[in-house]
Amino acid sequence: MLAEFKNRRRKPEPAAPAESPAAAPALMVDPPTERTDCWQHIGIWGDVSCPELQVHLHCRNCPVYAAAAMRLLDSRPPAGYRREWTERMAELAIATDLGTPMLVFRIGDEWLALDISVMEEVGEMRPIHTLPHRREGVLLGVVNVRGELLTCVSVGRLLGIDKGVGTGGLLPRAAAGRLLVVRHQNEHYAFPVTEVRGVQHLALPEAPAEIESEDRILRAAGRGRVMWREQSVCCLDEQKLFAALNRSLA
Amino acid sequence: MLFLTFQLGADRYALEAARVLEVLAMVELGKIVGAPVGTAGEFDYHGASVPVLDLCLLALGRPSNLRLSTRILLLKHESQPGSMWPLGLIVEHATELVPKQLGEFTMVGDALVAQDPRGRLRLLQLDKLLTDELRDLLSVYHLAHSQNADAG
Repeated sequence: MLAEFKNRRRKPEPAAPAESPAAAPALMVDPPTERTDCWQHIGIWGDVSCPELQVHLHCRNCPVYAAAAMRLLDSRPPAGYRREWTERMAELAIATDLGTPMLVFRIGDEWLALDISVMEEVGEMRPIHTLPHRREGVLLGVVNVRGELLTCVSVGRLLGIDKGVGTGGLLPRAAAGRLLVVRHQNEHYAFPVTEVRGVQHLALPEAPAEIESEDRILRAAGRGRVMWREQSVCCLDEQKLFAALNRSLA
Repeated sequence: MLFLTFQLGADRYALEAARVLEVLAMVELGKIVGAPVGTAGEFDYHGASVPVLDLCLLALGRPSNLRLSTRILLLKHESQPGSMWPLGLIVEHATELVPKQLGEFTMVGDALVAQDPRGRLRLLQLDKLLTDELRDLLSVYHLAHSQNADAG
């Protein structure tokens, strides 16, 4: 619709830029018969001679242009518009009920998800300062997050994720690598991940996961596996995860 | 404080944006048989029946024009003392938000009016427009829902 509106070339109207914005969104029962498209002639897309440009710099900032946009909204809705919105309003309830918001991220080749209630920050990777005589195991060292020294752990090692990109000794140094800061009750940790895919609504399984399952990650700290964009995502149980971290650091 | 502005007849009106839950596009409304004047119908909002009033019908006695800028404001309405139930209100030219202070609206006759670069802006006092029949209708919706919730 905008294209059609823009392409209607008219003779330049000297009065157009001086049009008072007050006249614009007045009650218009019929489509406006007189259309000004001064921006095509004296504005940014024309010869740039409009005196208003001194003030507004670009037609986008000009009330005349804004008023023209408002007039586009005065047109009748296209066929099926109300039907479509009616259906969308009625449907959405099912869509929003689906799933718990969880932060989805990847360590190595494993996709994991953690409840957003424990997530404190997703930050850039930063140097991890190793601690003397603690070069093995889950503890990686300490990191500085806005002046606070946090224990940096390897969730990849904890869960026994095979060495892929950015697990174990090979910390992610690529641009996609992120440092997640989590807090559960009084425990505060940071851990590096390979990639973060933001908060996704995942439908968690109702029943708790089988303990005797073959899945190593699920057994260590999992709540259940869900399919997300054709990937199997392991949803972590924050209680189990923090308990396992505590055990391995003690 | 933000105010949502719209047109009623020849006048511009404003409503506190904090009272608006959502601005919806016009939907197809189901008729409410025997509903009092000013009612436009009802629609299904995520599984809940929400009654819709037409401000033009209430104030001017003619239905709102069907335009893209004619929208349904989903308002918080206290249908029972102490509890809220959404109420739809059809308004024309609901296209703008303006920052204003409540103190800028001064009593002029029966209306609260503020000055604005685009002219006078009146504060919509919806409670004054609601008749007893309309209030009854709105509370019926609330009751029907709470009974359904209890049964379920």
